[in-house]
Amino acid sequence: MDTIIETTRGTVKVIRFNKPQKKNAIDGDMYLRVTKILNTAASDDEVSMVVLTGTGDFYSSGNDYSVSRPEGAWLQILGDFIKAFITFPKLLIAIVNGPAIGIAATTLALCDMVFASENAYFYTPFSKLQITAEGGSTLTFPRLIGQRKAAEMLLFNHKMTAKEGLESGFINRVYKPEELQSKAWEKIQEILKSFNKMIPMSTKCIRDGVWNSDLPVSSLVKGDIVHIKAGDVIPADIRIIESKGVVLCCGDLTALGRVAGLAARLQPEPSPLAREIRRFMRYMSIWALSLGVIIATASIILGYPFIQTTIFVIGMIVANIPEGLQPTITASLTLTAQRMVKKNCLVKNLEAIEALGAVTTICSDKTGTLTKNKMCVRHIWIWDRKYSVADPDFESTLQVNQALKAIKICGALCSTAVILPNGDIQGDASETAILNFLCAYDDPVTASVHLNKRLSRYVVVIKGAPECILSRCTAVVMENGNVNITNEVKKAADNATEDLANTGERVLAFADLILDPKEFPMSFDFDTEEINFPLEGLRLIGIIGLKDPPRDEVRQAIERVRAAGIRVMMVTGDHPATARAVAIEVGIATTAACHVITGNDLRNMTSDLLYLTLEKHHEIVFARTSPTQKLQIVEACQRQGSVVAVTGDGVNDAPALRRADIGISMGITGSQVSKQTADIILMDDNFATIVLGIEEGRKIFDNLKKSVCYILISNVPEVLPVFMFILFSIPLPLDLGTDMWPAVSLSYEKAEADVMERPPRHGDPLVSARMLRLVYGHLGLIEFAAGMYAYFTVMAEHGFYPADLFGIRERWDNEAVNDVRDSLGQEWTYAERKELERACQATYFIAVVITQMMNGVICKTRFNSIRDVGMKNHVLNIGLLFELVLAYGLCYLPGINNFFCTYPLRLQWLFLAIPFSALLLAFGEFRKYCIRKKLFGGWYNEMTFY
Amino acid sequence: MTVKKRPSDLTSLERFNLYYREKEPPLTAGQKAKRFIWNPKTKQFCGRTASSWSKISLFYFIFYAALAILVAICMWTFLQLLDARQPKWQLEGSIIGTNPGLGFRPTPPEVASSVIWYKGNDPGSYQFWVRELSNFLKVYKRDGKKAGAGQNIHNCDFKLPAPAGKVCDVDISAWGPCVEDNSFAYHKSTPCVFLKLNKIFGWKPVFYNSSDTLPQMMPDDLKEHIRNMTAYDKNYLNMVWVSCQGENPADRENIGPIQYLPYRGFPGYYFPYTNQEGYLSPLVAVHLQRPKTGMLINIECRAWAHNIVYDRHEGMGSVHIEIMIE
Repeated sequence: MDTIIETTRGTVKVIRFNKPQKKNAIDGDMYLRVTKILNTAASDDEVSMVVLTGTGDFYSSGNDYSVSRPEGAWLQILGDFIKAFITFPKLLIAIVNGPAIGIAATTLALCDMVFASENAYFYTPFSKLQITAEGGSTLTFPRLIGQRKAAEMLLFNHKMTAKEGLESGFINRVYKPEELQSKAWEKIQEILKSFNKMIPMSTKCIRDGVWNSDLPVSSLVKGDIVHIKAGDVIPADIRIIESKGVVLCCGDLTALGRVAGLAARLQPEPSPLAREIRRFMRYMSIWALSLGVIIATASIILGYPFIQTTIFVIGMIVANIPEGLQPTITASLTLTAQRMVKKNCLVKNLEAIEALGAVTTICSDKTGTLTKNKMCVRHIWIWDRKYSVADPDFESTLQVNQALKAIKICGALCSTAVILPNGDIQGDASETAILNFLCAYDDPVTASVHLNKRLSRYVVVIKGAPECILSRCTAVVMENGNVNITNEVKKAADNATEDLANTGERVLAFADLILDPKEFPMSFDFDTEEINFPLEGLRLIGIIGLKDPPRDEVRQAIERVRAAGIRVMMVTGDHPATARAVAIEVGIATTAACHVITGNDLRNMTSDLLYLTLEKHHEIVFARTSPTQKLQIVEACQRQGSVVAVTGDGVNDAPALRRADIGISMGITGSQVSKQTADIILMDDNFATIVLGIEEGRKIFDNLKKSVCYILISNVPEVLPVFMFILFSIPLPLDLGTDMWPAVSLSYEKAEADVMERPPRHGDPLVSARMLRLVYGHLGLIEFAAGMYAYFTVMAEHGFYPADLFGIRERWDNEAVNDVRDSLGQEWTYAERKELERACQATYFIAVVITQMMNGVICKTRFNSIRDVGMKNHVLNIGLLFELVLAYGLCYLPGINNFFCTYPLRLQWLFLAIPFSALLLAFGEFRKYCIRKKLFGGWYNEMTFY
Repeated sequence: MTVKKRPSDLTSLERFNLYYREKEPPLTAGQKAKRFIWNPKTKQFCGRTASSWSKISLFYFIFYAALAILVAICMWTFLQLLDARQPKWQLEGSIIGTNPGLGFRPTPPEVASSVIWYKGNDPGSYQFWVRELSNFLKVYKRDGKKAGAGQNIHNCDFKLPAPAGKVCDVDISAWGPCVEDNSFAYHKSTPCVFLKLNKIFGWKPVFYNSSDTLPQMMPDDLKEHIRNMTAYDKNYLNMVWVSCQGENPADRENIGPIQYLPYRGFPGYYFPYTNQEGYLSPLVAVHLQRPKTGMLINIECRAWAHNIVYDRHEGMGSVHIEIMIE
């Protein structure tokens, strides 16, 4: 038996210690073999990494002492072995399938990555054997696991378990023993994939009659003759002449380059958020300016000096600037982008994530996005019955059915796919699917046993399109024997075929024929070129339907997307029947009558007709489309006013991705250009991730609305005092903006209950009339009332009763008047009055802050009750607390209060706004209750549901 | 939030209308505005029908009424807790503090101005000031006594302070030239300016209890005056003294001799002010007997007591008056 098994898997060289009877102990011969393999692999360009593993449940038990060894050469051998590990220039990965002892453990430290099974342990009993620690372990171990652990292992024979190894950093991953190989190889494939991307593409070409076997693609020029073979990427536009190609164009001049250039030239529409904010800013400016004009007119009419008027106007305009908006937007977009990355969604363009919330139409790819991009056996038809593989009873049915055995044999034999030694299957997608299916329900090895038994005679197995096979069959397998084919059977088979084909499955029929051993003895020489064996009178075994199945989570995702009022269209290059079937299966189409437009139809449509078609049919599937037609579809949708998201992976998709409001590229299958143009990259190519994005996007917009509402509310108590001052001539109450943090932290709010149950915001602005009504008519007024109440209270406590304040301003603000009389006859000097005014302003400010804090709580939700949502947004909680502390700081810190013209208030003045806070909360809850229950015939919703 | 109906959901008639009905010609801005104000088709005024307007008015009426009631309840409760006769915060507890300011009459008509400016030979010019002073002194006139306030008035003396509930009289009739009948001497270019100390609820002056411990800052003539007065009667120590001076050396020259009426200060029996019915602030009439004409005279008047703090910049314990007679 071979003690070292060397296999190649793609570009990976696999070395397996194979001496299970001795627990894979390594002898001199094995050392030499491994050394040689490693040294060859080091200089072999076809090898990118080497994987070490062992047979059985032991990785290796170290040196094999049972084999005699020549003393002098032995050290040389060992030295070369270790050296081969140390100097190996490529990736070295160990899959440790069991305990690794002695030199097997020390060489692990020289590997780049180690995956171990749970039952593995690492043991280096050098001191027990009274030898020095070998393999450079005294150097490598302390580096990997630290001095202490290394000493424990190398000096005191500690047996390190896999778990401990993982914790101490000796190994990378631990898997269950039965999963080890598959999981480790999954990881290795991943690594290989990242390798491929790093390797610059090269090609073989003839230039000036000289053969270049390794020319980088980027240096190809016009006129080079390129050699290509199956599987190569075509490096430039070439004209093919007998499996060689003459380069016609390269770089940007190629067809692909032009597409990429088109993508670069196309101007994407400004994002919906940008549009919204621009509009909001415009309205805000108009509002602030008109307020300014009103104030200016009023104050000039009332005879204020020009300077005073200017100050009013500037104050008014500044008060109206929503200063918290920009940080709020940035914070919520950044936060969401970070959260989305964790959910496998890379957001390149921050505003795209919000745009995703506004999406009204999604144009999705089929293959890879909606489906798994992997053929699978879905249905089996055997004698008048269709079995679904997805059926939970399928496995038990399978056990008793005779015909299925035949199908297994037939399927296994009649296949061009090959099972590689490592368990992978290589071959055509359908063949692979069939073998995969057989593997899943039976061990392929058993199939070969059946074959052995029947070796006494030949059997013809055949598979192919059902109509071809059926016409050659005379019998059919039933559960307990064969029956001659009747018209009924034929009809049933035809029906089944049609049935399966209609659901978009690829249909294959299986048949066999046992040849008479007399006519075809063992020595019979079959000739497949000139067929010398019968292909008529076959026995029909069954029909198999294959399909690229939809991803499991897609159906649910599409259901949610549709519930959210978003239209999903499929744009695929597949056959219309397949496309339609998949559309129905994933829920893009709800009836079989969904509208399918092929690429040819599309080419003949005028843009008006396309527009009308999009209007008329809600469920549309585009089949057999070329990728460039995507752009046409996207533009047509946008003409309708839709906000369009497009998924795509190819270079050809780039223009559509760029043109779309949100371009979504695929992380795994996506091309570089598509990733560059896209706004969002789905790292797992999964449609369901888009739904998360939509939810997040809508949440952002909701939270922005809340923030804006919150910010605007505080404008009211900033603006109205100026009017009070001008119109009623009372001394000026003031407000300072301390509500920035709470405004920003509203973007940390969780999504509301209805976020995915309402249609996309179509023409639903960031700031609506309803919000303004709520802000200026309701919440802001309550806040203002609270402030004024606090203001009047402090005034009254000092002797100025409210009634006496109206009209007092002229004497109050007159510096020359040293004796303004209050309601109780006391006379106030200018300085005393101004100090009182500061105290009142500070009370007003605190009252506004306290009510504004309650407004923060109210703005947490637009729809839900606070009771249900709770105060779980700790950023907001801290923000509110901070607002309060800041406000108090402004009032009480000496120096600072002078600078901001505030005043250290009496304790009881801090609580004046409490009744108004309570009113705010009660009113807010009442309002939301009405909105949820749609009380008063939904009239209230119309009024204030922003 | 309204859901936009999809064309596929529409009936065939609706769809027909959607695509084939003749579109109305677009309205001009003026027409649009007109239709917004009154739309005869839908009977909408400013975008709302009558019932919609009434609903919205009712809602806002209720809402604002509720808000107003809350404010009213809060305010009313609060005012009930206050004493109608005395401020909640007094003296040190109040922002008004314990340092009464000094005020003067007549008040100049211009905002933030303290200039008394008139032409001595032009009755139309000084009439304004005379009228201003007459108005101010109206409450002091005994013949205009009102029943309620008048009963409270009591003729006080240093030995005879006002009994509880009574207020001391301020008799302005015998103040020499500074009487209304004499036009407060304005026509003679020797104007009278009335000084008053701000009322602070409960404030009592702390008098200089001896003529030997007067502050150094006090003008010598006042010191002299105090010594003379107290030598005559110790009770005169219970006085908030007043001094007026030109601010700059030039002013001091220009200001000429000054006569203070009736006393050179506010007698102590007027204090404390406790919002008594009919309380009259004590006054000092400052008569400039020979001011220089044709130039602006800056005058600073100070009130003197232990507990009156002086700060010229803050205007504490003093008042700044400018006089210009042409």
